[in-house]
Amino acid sequence: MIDVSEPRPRPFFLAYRPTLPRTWWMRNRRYAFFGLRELTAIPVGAWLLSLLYELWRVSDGPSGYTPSASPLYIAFSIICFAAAVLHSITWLNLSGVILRIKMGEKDVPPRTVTLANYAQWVVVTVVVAALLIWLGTWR
Amino acid sequence: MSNFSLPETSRLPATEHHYKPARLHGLWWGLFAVGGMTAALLVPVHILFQGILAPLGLVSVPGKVLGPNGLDPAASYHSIAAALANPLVKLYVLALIALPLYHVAHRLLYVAIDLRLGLHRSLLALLFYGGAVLGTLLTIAVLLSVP
Amino acid sequence: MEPSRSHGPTRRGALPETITLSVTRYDPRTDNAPHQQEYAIPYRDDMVVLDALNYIKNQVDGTLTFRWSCRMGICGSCGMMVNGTPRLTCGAFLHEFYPRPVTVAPLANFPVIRDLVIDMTDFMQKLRDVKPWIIRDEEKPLEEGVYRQSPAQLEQYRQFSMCINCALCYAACPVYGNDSSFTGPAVIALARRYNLDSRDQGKKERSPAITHGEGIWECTYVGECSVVCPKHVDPAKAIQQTKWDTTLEWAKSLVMPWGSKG
Repeated sequence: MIDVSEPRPRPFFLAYRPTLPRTWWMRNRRYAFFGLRELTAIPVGAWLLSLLYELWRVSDGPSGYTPSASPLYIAFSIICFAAAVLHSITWLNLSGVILRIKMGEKDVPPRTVTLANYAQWVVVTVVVAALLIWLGTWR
Repeated sequence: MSNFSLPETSRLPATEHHYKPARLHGLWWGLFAVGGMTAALLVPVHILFQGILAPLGLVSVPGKVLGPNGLDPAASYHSIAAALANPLVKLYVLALIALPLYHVAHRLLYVAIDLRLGLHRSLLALLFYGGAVLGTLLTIAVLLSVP
Repeated sequence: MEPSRSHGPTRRGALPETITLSVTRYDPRTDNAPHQQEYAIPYRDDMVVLDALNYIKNQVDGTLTFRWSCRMGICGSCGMMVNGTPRLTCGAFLHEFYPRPVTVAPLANFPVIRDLVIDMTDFMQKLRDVKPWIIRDEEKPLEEGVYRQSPAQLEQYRQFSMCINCALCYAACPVYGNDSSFTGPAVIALARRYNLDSRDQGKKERSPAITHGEGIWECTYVGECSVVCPKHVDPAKAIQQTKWDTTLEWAKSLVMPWGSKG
Protein backbone atom coordinates (compact mmCIF):
# COMPACT_ATOMS: atom_id res chain seq x y z
CA MET A 1 0.00 0.00 0.00
CA ILE A 2 1.78 3.15 -1.18
CA ASP A 3 1.51 6.04 1.22
CA VAL A 4 0.64 9.04 -0.95
CA SER A 5 2.03 11.42 1.64
CA GLU A 6 5.53 10.05 0.93
CA PRO A 7 7.85 11.77 -1.55
CA ARG A 8 7.14 11.01 -5.22
CA PRO A 9 8.94 7.94 -6.56
CA ARG A 10 11.84 8.80 -8.81
CA PRO A 11 12.32 6.75 -11.98
CA PHE A 12 15.79 5.42 -12.44
CA PHE A 13 16.87 8.05 -14.88
CA LEU A 14 17.20 10.08 -11.72
CA ALA A 15 19.57 7.47 -10.37
CA TYR A 16 22.28 8.56 -7.97
CA ARG A 17 25.33 9.65 -9.93
CA PRO A 18 28.55 9.30 -7.96
CA THR A 19 31.48 11.66 -8.57
CA LEU A 20 35.01 10.34 -8.63
CA PRO A 21 36.85 12.13 -5.80
CA ARG A 22 39.79 14.29 -6.83
CA THR A 23 41.99 12.18 -4.56
CA TRP A 24 41.34 9.03 -6.56
CA TRP A 25 45.05 8.66 -7.28
CA MET A 26 45.74 8.15 -3.57
CA ARG A 27 43.41 5.15 -3.34
CA ASN A 28 45.97 2.43 -3.98
CA ARG A 29 49.68 1.87 -4.70
CA ARG A 30 49.23 1.38 -8.44
CA TYR A 31 47.29 4.63 -8.90
CA ALA A 32 49.96 6.50 -6.91
CA PHE A 33 52.76 4.96 -8.95
CA PHE A 34 50.92 5.99 -12.10
CA GLY A 35 50.99 9.59 -10.86
CA LEU A 36 54.70 9.36 -10.09
CA ARG A 37 55.41 7.85 -13.49
CA GLU A 38 53.59 10.66 -15.27
CA LEU A 39 55.33 13.32 -13.22
CA THR A 40 58.80 12.05 -14.23
CA ALA A 41 58.20 13.92 -17.49
CA ILE A 42 58.61 17.26 -15.70
CA PRO A 43 62.24 16.90 -14.55
CA VAL A 44 63.14 15.40 -17.94
CA GLY A 45 61.70 18.45 -19.69
CA ALA A 46 63.26 20.84 -17.19
CA TRP A 47 66.76 19.43 -17.65
CA LEU A 48 66.48 19.54 -21.44
CA LEU A 49 65.46 23.19 -21.19
CA SER A 50 68.50 23.84 -18.98
CA LEU A 51 70.61 22.22 -21.68
CA LEU A 52 68.99 24.49 -24.25
CA TYR A 53 69.85 27.49 -22.08
CA GLU A 54 73.48 26.39 -21.91
CA LEU A 55 73.61 26.02 -25.69
CA TRP A 56 72.12 29.48 -26.03
CA ARG A 57 75.02 30.91 -24.02
CA VAL A 58 77.37 29.42 -26.64
CA SER A 59 76.16 31.99 -29.15
CA ASP A 60 77.52 34.71 -26.87
CA GLY A 61 81.04 33.73 -27.77
CA PRO A 62 83.92 32.57 -25.55
CA SER A 63 83.69 35.52 -23.17
CA GLY A 64 80.00 35.02 -22.45
CA TYR A 65 80.05 31.25 -21.96
CA THR A 66 80.27 29.68 -18.51
CA PRO A 67 79.59 25.97 -18.16
CA SER A 68 76.93 25.12 -15.57
CA ALA A 69 78.65 23.25 -12.78
CA SER A 70 77.47 24.69 -9.47
CA PRO A 71 76.45 22.39 -6.61
CA LEU A 72 72.86 23.53 -7.18
CA TYR A 73 73.07 22.50 -10.81
CA ILE A 74 74.57 19.13 -9.87
CA ALA A 75 71.82 18.53 -7.30
CA PHE A 76 69.21 19.52 -9.92
CA SER A 77 70.82 17.12 -12.40
CA ILE A 78 70.82 14.28 -9.88
CA ILE A 79 67.08 14.69 -9.29
CA CYS A 80 66.45 14.89 -13.03
CA PHE A 81 68.64 11.83 -13.58
CA ALA A 82 66.58 9.78 -11.11
CA ALA A 83 63.37 10.91 -12.80
CA ALA A 84 64.80 10.18 -16.25
CA VAL A 85 65.87 6.67 -15.26
CA LEU A 86 62.44 5.96 -13.77
CA HIS A 87 60.89 7.32 -16.95
CA SER A 88 63.10 5.08 -19.08
CA ILE A 89 62.41 1.94 -17.07
CA THR A 90 58.64 2.44 -17.04
CA TRP A 91 58.61 3.43 -20.70
CA LEU A 92 60.71 0.50 -21.94
CA ASN A 93 58.68 -1.96 -19.85
CA LEU A 94 55.39 -0.66 -21.21
CA SER A 95 56.50 -0.38 -24.82
CA GLY A 96 57.54 -4.02 -24.68
CA VAL A 97 53.88 -4.82 -24.14
CA ILE A 98 52.62 -2.55 -26.88
CA LEU A 99 54.86 -3.36 -29.81
CA ARG A 100 53.85 -6.41 -31.77
CA ILE A 101 56.58 -7.77 -34.00
CA LYS A 102 55.71 -10.64 -36.28
CA MET A 103 57.92 -13.70 -36.46
CA GLY A 104 56.33 -15.59 -39.34
CA GLU A 105 52.74 -16.25 -38.25
CA LYS A 106 53.34 -15.75 -34.53
CA ASP A 107 54.27 -12.66 -32.54
CA VAL A 108 57.55 -12.16 -30.71
CA PRO A 109 56.80 -12.73 -27.00
CA PRO A 110 56.44 -9.42 -25.08
CA ARG A 111 59.29 -10.25 -22.70
CA THR A 112 61.69 -10.62 -25.62
CA VAL A 113 60.62 -7.25 -27.01
CA THR A 114 61.18 -5.65 -23.61
CA LEU A 115 64.63 -7.23 -23.34
CA ALA A 116 65.44 -5.98 -26.83
CA ASN A 117 64.36 -2.49 -25.74
CA TYR A 118 66.71 -2.60 -22.78
CA ALA A 119 69.53 -3.91 -24.95
CA GLN A 120 68.88 -1.01 -27.29
CA TRP A 121 69.05 1.38 -24.35
CA VAL A 122 72.40 -0.02 -23.22
CA VAL A 123 73.88 0.20 -26.71
CA VAL A 124 72.66 3.75 -27.26
CA THR A 125 73.95 4.80 -23.84
CA VAL A 126 77.42 3.38 -24.53
CA VAL A 127 77.58 4.95 -28.00
CA VAL A 128 76.45 8.39 -26.81
CA ALA A 129 78.79 8.27 -23.80
CA ALA A 130 81.69 7.42 -26.08
CA LEU A 131 80.75 10.27 -28.43
CA LEU A 132 80.47 12.75 -25.57
CA ILE A 133 83.89 11.77 -24.23
CA TRP A 134 85.45 11.92 -27.70
CA LEU A 135 83.84 15.28 -28.51
CA GLY A 136 85.08 16.51 -25.13
CA THR A 137 88.60 16.25 -26.50
CA TRP A 138 87.93 18.58 -29.49
CA ARG A 139 89.45 21.98 -29.32
CA MET B 1 16.77 -25.99 -41.76
CA SER B 2 16.04 -25.44 -45.44
CA ASN B 3 14.16 -22.23 -44.61
CA PHE B 4 17.22 -20.75 -42.98
CA SER B 5 18.92 -17.98 -44.93
CA LEU B 6 21.66 -15.53 -44.08
CA PRO B 7 20.98 -11.82 -44.13
CA GLU B 8 22.25 -10.04 -47.24
CA THR B 9 24.96 -8.35 -45.31
CA SER B 10 26.23 -8.24 -41.77
CA ARG B 11 26.35 -4.48 -42.00
CA LEU B 12 23.38 -3.35 -39.97
CA PRO B 13 21.90 0.12 -40.39
CA ALA B 14 24.06 2.88 -38.98
CA THR B 15 23.55 3.69 -35.34
CA GLU B 16 22.42 7.16 -34.34
CA HIS B 17 25.83 8.19 -33.15
CA HIS B 18 28.12 9.68 -35.81
CA TYR B 19 31.77 9.21 -34.88
CA LYS B 20 34.65 11.06 -36.54
CA PRO B 21 38.28 9.88 -36.32
CA ALA B 22 40.25 12.38 -34.25
CA ARG B 23 43.34 12.78 -36.41
CA LEU B 24 44.78 15.65 -34.37
CA HIS B 25 44.65 13.49 -31.23
CA GLY B 26 46.53 10.86 -33.21
CA LEU B 27 49.20 13.38 -34.17
CA TRP B 28 49.83 14.49 -30.59
CA TRP B 29 49.87 10.92 -29.38
CA GLY B 30 52.32 9.94 -32.13
CA LEU B 31 54.64 12.81 -31.14
CA PHE B 32 54.22 11.82 -27.49
CA ALA B 33 55.29 8.27 -28.33
CA VAL B 34 58.33 9.29 -30.41
CA GLY B 35 59.33 11.88 -27.81
CA GLY B 36 58.96 9.34 -25.05
CA MET B 37 61.18 6.80 -26.78
CA THR B 38 63.76 9.50 -27.52
CA ALA B 39 63.75 10.64 -23.91
CA ALA B 40 63.88 7.10 -22.59
CA LEU B 41 66.87 6.10 -24.67
CA LEU B 42 68.92 9.31 -24.74
CA VAL B 43 68.21 11.61 -21.81
CA PRO B 44 69.69 9.61 -18.90
CA VAL B 45 73.18 9.36 -20.41
CA HIS B 46 73.23 13.09 -21.22
CA ILE B 47 72.19 14.03 -17.69
CA LEU B 48 74.71 11.60 -16.23
CA PHE B 49 77.67 12.92 -18.23
CA GLN B 50 76.83 16.57 -18.84
CA GLY B 51 74.84 17.17 -15.66
CA ILE B 52 76.69 15.15 -13.04
CA LEU B 53 80.03 13.57 -13.98
CA ALA B 54 81.55 16.51 -15.89
CA PRO B 55 80.52 19.17 -13.33
CA LEU B 56 82.00 16.90 -10.64
CA GLY B 57 85.26 16.94 -12.57
CA LEU B 58 85.26 13.24 -13.40
CA VAL B 59 85.15 13.49 -17.19
CA SER B 60 85.34 16.04 -20.02
CA VAL B 61 82.39 16.51 -22.35
CA PRO B 62 81.57 19.20 -24.94
CA GLY B 63 80.85 22.36 -22.98
CA LYS B 64 82.47 21.14 -19.78
CA VAL B 65 86.17 20.48 -20.24
CA LEU B 66 88.48 19.85 -17.32
CA GLY B 67 91.47 22.08 -16.83
CA PRO B 68 94.15 22.21 -14.15
CA ASN B 69 91.77 23.96 -11.71
CA GLY B 70 88.32 22.50 -12.35
CA LEU B 71 86.47 23.38 -15.55
CA ASP B 72 88.33 25.42 -18.14
CA PRO B 73 85.82 27.93 -19.64
CA ALA B 74 87.81 28.63 -22.81
CA ALA B 75 88.41 24.98 -23.63
CA SER B 76 84.82 24.22 -22.70
CA TYR B 77 83.58 26.87 -25.10
CA HIS B 78 85.73 25.65 -27.95
CA SER B 79 84.67 22.04 -27.55
CA ILE B 80 80.97 22.79 -27.60
CA ALA B 81 81.27 25.30 -30.42
CA ALA B 82 83.27 22.82 -32.44
CA ALA B 83 80.71 20.08 -31.80
CA LEU B 84 77.74 22.28 -32.69
CA ALA B 85 79.41 23.43 -35.87
CA ASN B 86 78.69 19.98 -37.25
CA PRO B 87 75.19 19.92 -38.87
CA LEU B 88 74.68 16.30 -37.82
CA VAL B 89 75.25 17.28 -34.20
CA LYS B 90 72.77 20.13 -34.66
CA LEU B 91 70.14 17.68 -35.94
CA TYR B 92 70.81 15.30 -33.08
CA VAL B 93 70.47 18.07 -30.51
CA LEU B 94 67.23 19.21 -32.16
CA ALA B 95 65.79 15.70 -31.82
CA LEU B 96 67.15 15.32 -28.29
CA ILE B 97 65.52 18.51 -27.01
CA ALA B 98 62.47 19.11 -29.21
CA LEU B 99 60.92 15.63 -29.45
CA PRO B 100 60.68 15.00 -25.69
CA LEU B 101 58.98 18.40 -25.33
CA TYR B 102 55.89 16.93 -27.07
CA HIS B 103 56.05 14.00 -24.70
CA VAL B 104 56.16 16.33 -21.69
CA ALA B 105 53.37 18.51 -23.09
CA HIS B 106 51.06 15.54 -23.74
CA ARG B 107 51.69 14.08 -20.30
CA LEU B 108 51.16 17.40 -18.53
CA LEU B 109 47.90 17.94 -20.40
CA TYR B 110 46.55 14.54 -19.39
CA VAL B 111 47.78 14.84 -15.80
CA ALA B 112 45.86 18.10 -15.61
CA ILE B 113 42.78 16.35 -17.05
CA ASP B 114 43.06 13.24 -14.85
CA LEU B 115 43.61 15.27 -11.69
CA ARG B 116 40.88 17.72 -12.65
CA LEU B 117 43.10 20.75 -12.16
CA GLY B 118 40.29 22.98 -13.31
CA LEU B 119 41.31 24.88 -16.40
CA HIS B 120 39.41 24.34 -19.62
CA ARG B 121 40.86 21.58 -21.74
CA SER B 122 41.32 23.61 -24.93
CA LEU B 123 43.17 26.26 -22.97
CA LEU B 124 45.49 23.68 -21.42
CA ALA B 125 46.07 22.03 -24.81
CA LEU B 126 47.00 25.38 -26.31
CA LEU B 127 49.31 26.08 -23.38
CA PHE B 128 51.12 22.76 -23.40
CA TYR B 129 51.22 21.82 -27.08
CA GLY B 130 51.87 25.44 -27.95
CA GLY B 131 54.70 25.41 -25.45
CA ALA B 132 56.22 22.37 -27.14
CA VAL B 133 56.01 24.05 -30.55
CA LEU B 134 57.55 27.19 -29.08
CA GLY B 135 60.30 25.11 -27.53
CA THR B 136 60.97 23.49 -30.89
CA LEU B 137 61.26 26.90 -32.57
CA LEU B 138 63.54 28.16 -29.80
CA THR B 139 65.78 25.12 -30.17
CA ILE B 140 66.04 25.69 -33.92
CA ALA B 141 66.80 29.37 -33.32
CA VAL B 142 69.54 28.58 -30.81
CA LEU B 143 71.10 25.96 -33.07
CA LEU B 144 71.07 28.36 -36.00
CA SER B 145 72.60 31.15 -33.91
CA VAL B 146 75.67 29.05 -33.16
CA PRO B 147 78.18 29.32 -36.02
CA MET C 1 44.22 -26.81 -2.60
CA GLU C 2 43.06 -27.62 0.91
CA PRO C 3 40.28 -25.34 2.11
CA SER C 4 41.10 -23.70 5.40
CA ARG C 5 39.71 -25.73 8.23
CA SER C 6 40.58 -23.33 11.00
CA HIS C 7 37.32 -21.38 10.72
CA GLY C 8 33.70 -22.27 10.29
CA PRO C 9 31.24 -24.36 12.25
CA THR C 10 32.68 -27.60 10.89
CA ARG C 11 34.55 -28.36 14.10
CA ARG C 12 32.35 -30.40 16.39
CA GLY C 13 30.98 -28.36 19.25
CA ALA C 14 32.36 -25.06 17.95
CA LEU C 15 30.16 -21.99 17.98
CA PRO C 16 29.16 -20.71 14.52
CA GLU C 17 31.33 -17.77 13.54
CA THR C 18 29.93 -14.55 12.14
CA ILE C 19 31.19 -11.95 9.75
CA THR C 20 29.90 -8.42 9.27
CA LEU C 21 28.98 -7.04 5.88
CA SER C 22 28.55 -3.31 5.38
CA VAL C 23 26.31 -3.03 2.34
CA THR C 24 25.23 0.03 0.37
CA ARG C 25 21.50 0.68 0.49
CA TYR C 26 19.75 3.20 -1.71
CA ASP C 27 16.05 3.53 -2.41
CA PRO C 28 15.49 6.27 -5.03
CA ARG C 29 11.95 6.76 -3.72
CA THR C 30 13.06 7.80 -0.27
CA ASP C 31 16.81 8.45 -0.19
CA ASN C 32 18.78 11.40 -1.46
CA ALA C 33 22.02 9.45 -1.38
CA PRO C 34 23.22 5.89 -0.73
CA HIS C 35 24.13 4.85 2.84
CA GLN C 36 25.67 1.77 4.43
CA GLN C 37 23.76 -0.87 6.38
CA GLU C 38 25.47 -3.53 8.48
CA TYR C 39 24.53 -7.18 8.61
CA ALA C 40 26.14 -9.86 10.80
CA ILE C 41 25.77 -13.26 9.17
CA PRO C 42 27.04 -16.79 9.84
CA TYR C 43 30.45 -17.42 8.30
CA ARG C 44 31.75 -20.53 6.58
CA ASP C 45 35.13 -20.56 4.91
CA ASP C 46 33.70 -21.70 1.59
CA MET C 47 31.38 -18.71 1.25
CA VAL C 48 31.79 -15.99 -1.31
CA VAL C 49 30.44 -12.45 -1.01
CA LEU C 50 27.57 -13.41 -3.30
CA ASP C 51 26.60 -16.20 -0.89
CA ALA C 52 26.59 -13.66 1.92
CA LEU C 53 24.36 -11.29 -0.07
CA ASN C 54 21.95 -14.11 -0.87
CA TYR C 55 21.90 -15.13 2.77
CA ILE C 56 21.00 -11.56 3.71
CA LYS C 57 18.27 -11.41 1.08
CA ASN C 58 16.83 -14.82 1.96
CA GLN C 59 17.08 -14.77 5.75
CA VAL C 60 17.58 -11.23 6.98
CA ASP C 61 16.41 -8.47 4.67
CA GLY C 62 14.43 -9.33 1.56
CA THR C 63 14.57 -5.77 0.27
CA LEU C 64 18.28 -5.95 -0.56
CA THR C 65 18.62 -5.73 -4.34
CA PHE C 66 21.55 -6.92 -6.45
CA ARG C 67 22.34 -8.65 -9.73
CA TRP C 68 23.77 -12.14 -10.12
CA SER C 69 23.32 -15.16 -12.31
CA CYS C 70 25.81 -17.92 -13.03
CA ARG C 71 27.67 -17.67 -9.67
CA MET C 72 30.77 -19.06 -11.39
CA GLY C 73 32.53 -16.09 -12.96
CA ILE C 74 31.36 -16.30 -16.56
CA CYS C 75 28.17 -14.24 -16.90
CA GLY C 76 29.59 -10.95 -15.66
CA SER C 77 26.43 -9.93 -13.75
CA CYS C 78 27.65 -9.74 -10.15
CA GLY C 79 30.31 -7.03 -10.40
CA MET C 80 30.46 -4.84 -7.27
CA MET C 81 32.97 -2.95 -5.14
CA VAL C 82 34.29 -5.25 -2.40
CA ASN C 83 36.40 -3.28 0.09
CA GLY C 84 36.91 -0.64 -2.57
CA THR C 85 38.06 -3.00 -5.34
CA PRO C 86 35.90 -4.00 -8.31
CA ARG C 87 35.28 -7.73 -7.96
CA LEU C 88 32.91 -10.40 -9.19
CA THR C 89 31.19 -11.20 -5.90
CA CYS C 90 30.86 -14.85 -6.92
CA GLY C 91 34.65 -15.09 -6.84
CA ALA C 92 35.42 -13.00 -3.77
CA PHE C 93 35.85 -15.42 -0.88
CA LEU C 94 34.91 -14.24 2.61
CA HIS C 95 38.02 -15.96 3.97
CA GLU C 96 40.10 -13.30 2.15
CA PHE C 97 38.68 -10.76 4.61
CA TYR C 98 37.56 -12.70 7.71
CA PRO C 99 37.42 -11.72 10.54
CA ARG C 100 37.39 -8.09 9.35
CA PRO C 101 34.12 -6.60 8.10
CA VAL C 102 33.53 -6.56 4.34
CA THR C 103 32.22 -3.44 2.61
CA VAL C 104 30.07 -4.11 -0.47
CA ALA C 105 29.15 -1.17 -2.68
CA PRO C 106 27.68 -0.78 -6.17
CA LEU C 107 30.16 -0.90 -9.05
CA ALA C 108 31.94 2.45 -9.17
CA ASN C 109 31.61 5.08 -11.91
CA PHE C 110 28.08 4.05 -12.87
CA PRO C 111 24.74 5.61 -11.83
CA VAL C 112 23.10 3.68 -9.01
CA ILE C 113 19.54 2.62 -9.68
CA ARG C 114 18.94 0.96 -6.33
CA ASP C 115 21.10 -0.64 -3.58
CA LEU C 116 23.81 -2.52 -5.49
CA VAL C 117 22.22 -2.30 -8.94
CA ILE C 118 23.83 0.07 -11.44
CA ASP C 119 22.72 1.50 -14.76
CA MET C 120 24.73 -0.16 -17.54
CA THR C 121 23.07 1.74 -20.38
CA ASP C 122 26.14 3.80 -21.22
CA PHE C 123 28.30 0.69 -21.50
CA MET C 124 25.69 -1.09 -23.62
CA GLN C 125 25.39 1.82 -26.02
CA LYS C 126 29.13 2.03 -26.50
CA LEU C 127 29.37 -1.71 -26.98
CA ARG C 128 26.73 -1.64 -29.70
CA ASP C 129 28.45 1.29 -31.41
CA VAL C 130 31.65 -0.70 -32.08
CA LYS C 131 29.62 -3.40 -33.85
CA PRO C 132 31.04 -6.37 -31.95
CA TRP C 133 30.30 -8.97 -34.61
CA ILE C 134 31.97 -10.27 -37.77
CA ILE C 135 31.41 -7.81 -40.59
CA ARG C 136 31.85 -9.12 -44.13
CA ASP C 137 31.76 -7.31 -47.46
CA GLU C 138 29.88 -10.35 -48.69
CA GLU C 139 28.71 -13.31 -46.66
CA LYS C 140 29.96 -16.69 -47.84
CA PRO C 141 27.00 -18.76 -49.08
CA LEU C 142 26.28 -21.75 -46.85
CA GLU C 143 27.22 -24.21 -49.59
CA GLU C 144 30.84 -22.94 -49.50
CA GLY C 145 31.17 -24.19 -45.92
CA VAL C 146 32.72 -22.67 -42.82
CA TYR C 147 35.33 -19.92 -42.46
CA ARG C 148 38.70 -21.52 -41.75
CA GLN C 149 41.11 -20.08 -39.21
CA SER C 150 44.49 -21.37 -38.10
CA PRO C 151 45.44 -21.57 -34.40
CA ALA C 152 47.95 -18.77 -35.00
CA GLN C 153 45.21 -16.57 -36.47
CA LEU C 154 43.01 -17.33 -33.49
CA GLU C 155 45.82 -16.46 -31.11
CA GLN C 156 45.97 -12.93 -32.57
CA TYR C 157 42.67 -12.01 -30.91
CA ARG C 158 41.87 -14.85 -28.49
CA GLN C 159 42.84 -13.00 -25.31
CA PHE C 160 40.57 -10.05 -26.16
CA SER C 161 37.67 -12.41 -26.92
CA MET C 162 37.55 -13.54 -23.28
CA CYS C 163 35.64 -10.44 -22.18
CA ILE C 164 32.43 -11.18 -20.26
CA ASN C 165 31.18 -7.58 -20.28
CA CYS C 166 31.26 -7.38 -16.49
CA ALA C 167 32.42 -3.72 -16.60
CA LEU C 168 34.83 -4.09 -13.66
CA CYS C 169 37.38 -2.32 -15.88
CA TYR C 170 35.10 0.74 -16.09
CA ALA C 171 34.91 0.85 -12.31
CA ALA C 172 38.70 0.74 -12.11
CA CYS C 173 39.36 3.35 -14.80
CA PRO C 174 39.86 6.90 -13.44
CA VAL C 175 39.53 8.38 -16.92
CA TYR C 176 36.02 6.93 -17.22
CA GLY C 177 35.33 7.92 -13.62
CA ASN C 178 36.21 11.53 -14.42
CA ASP C 179 34.39 11.63 -17.75
CA SER C 180 31.89 8.98 -18.77
CA SER C 181 32.10 10.02 -22.41
CA PHE C 182 35.33 7.96 -22.57
CA THR C 183 34.69 4.84 -24.64
CA GLY C 184 36.33 2.65 -22.03
CA PRO C 185 38.52 -0.45 -21.79
CA ALA C 186 36.18 -3.35 -22.58
CA VAL C 187 34.60 -1.74 -25.62
CA ILE C 188 37.96 -0.86 -27.15
CA ALA C 189 39.33 -4.33 -26.42
CA LEU C 190 36.31 -5.89 -28.09
CA ALA C 191 36.61 -3.62 -31.12
CA ARG C 192 40.22 -4.77 -31.41
CA ARG C 193 39.12 -8.41 -31.00
CA TYR C 194 37.03 -8.08 -34.14
CA ASN C 195 39.52 -5.94 -36.06
CA LEU C 196 42.16 -8.64 -35.51
CA ASP C 197 39.86 -11.51 -36.45
CA SER C 198 40.93 -12.89 -39.85
CA ARG C 199 37.28 -13.49 -40.77
CA ASP C 200 36.36 -9.84 -40.22
CA GLN C 201 36.37 -7.18 -42.92
CA GLY C 202 34.81 -4.38 -40.91
CA LYS C 203 37.84 -2.50 -39.55
CA LYS C 204 37.14 0.65 -41.57
CA GLU C 205 33.53 0.69 -40.47
CA ARG C 206 34.25 -0.11 -36.85
CA SER C 207 37.26 2.08 -36.14
CA PRO C 208 35.67 5.56 -36.00
CA ALA C 209 33.74 4.39 -32.94
CA ILE C 210 37.03 4.05 -31.04
CA THR C 211 39.38 6.53 -32.72
CA HIS C 212 37.22 9.58 -32.06
CA GLY C 213 38.06 12.33 -29.58
CA GLU C 214 36.78 10.44 -26.54
CA GLY C 215 38.09 7.07 -27.64
CA ILE C 216 41.52 5.46 -27.44
CA TRP C 217 43.36 8.79 -27.23
CA GLU C 218 41.87 9.61 -23.84
CA CYS C 219 43.43 6.57 -22.19
CA THR C 220 46.50 7.46 -20.12
CA TYR C 221 47.56 3.84 -19.49
CA VAL C 222 46.85 3.81 -15.80
CA GLY C 223 46.51 0.06 -16.28
CA GLU C 224 44.10 -0.62 -13.43
CA CYS C 225 41.55 -2.05 -15.87
CA SER C 226 43.86 -4.95 -16.68
CA VAL C 227 44.62 -5.49 -12.99
CA VAL C 228 40.95 -6.00 -12.07
CA CYS C 229 39.82 -7.93 -15.16
CA PRO C 230 38.64 -11.36 -13.96
CA LYS C 231 39.27 -12.98 -17.35
CA HIS C 232 42.77 -11.55 -17.94
CA VAL C 233 41.74 -9.79 -21.14
CA ASP C 234 44.37 -7.05 -20.60
CA PRO C 235 42.28 -4.24 -22.12
CA ALA C 236 45.08 -1.75 -21.36
CA LYS C 237 47.31 -3.64 -23.77
CA ALA C 238 44.54 -3.67 -26.36
CA ILE C 239 44.12 0.10 -26.12
CA GLN C 240 47.84 0.92 -26.39
CA GLN C 241 48.24 -1.48 -29.33
CA THR C 242 45.27 0.18 -31.01
CA LYS C 243 46.83 3.62 -30.49
CA TRP C 244 50.06 2.46 -32.08
CA ASP C 245 48.38 0.66 -34.99
CA THR C 246 46.07 3.60 -35.66
CA THR C 247 48.93 6.12 -35.59
CA LEU C 248 50.92 4.01 -38.05
CA GLU C 249 47.93 3.62 -40.36
CA TRP C 250 47.11 7.31 -40.31
CA ALA C 251 50.78 8.20 -40.92
CA LYS C 252 50.91 5.71 -43.79
CA SER C 253 47.74 7.13 -45.31
CA LEU C 254 49.32 10.59 -45.19
CA VAL C 255 52.46 9.46 -46.95
CA MET C 256 50.82 6.91 -49.22
CA PRO C 257 47.19 8.02 -49.67
CA TRP C 258 46.54 5.51 -52.41
CA GLY C 259 46.41 2.61 -49.91
CA SER C 260 42.95 1.05 -49.71
CA LYS C 261 43.07 -0.23 -46.13
CA GLY C 262 41.01 1.97 -43.77
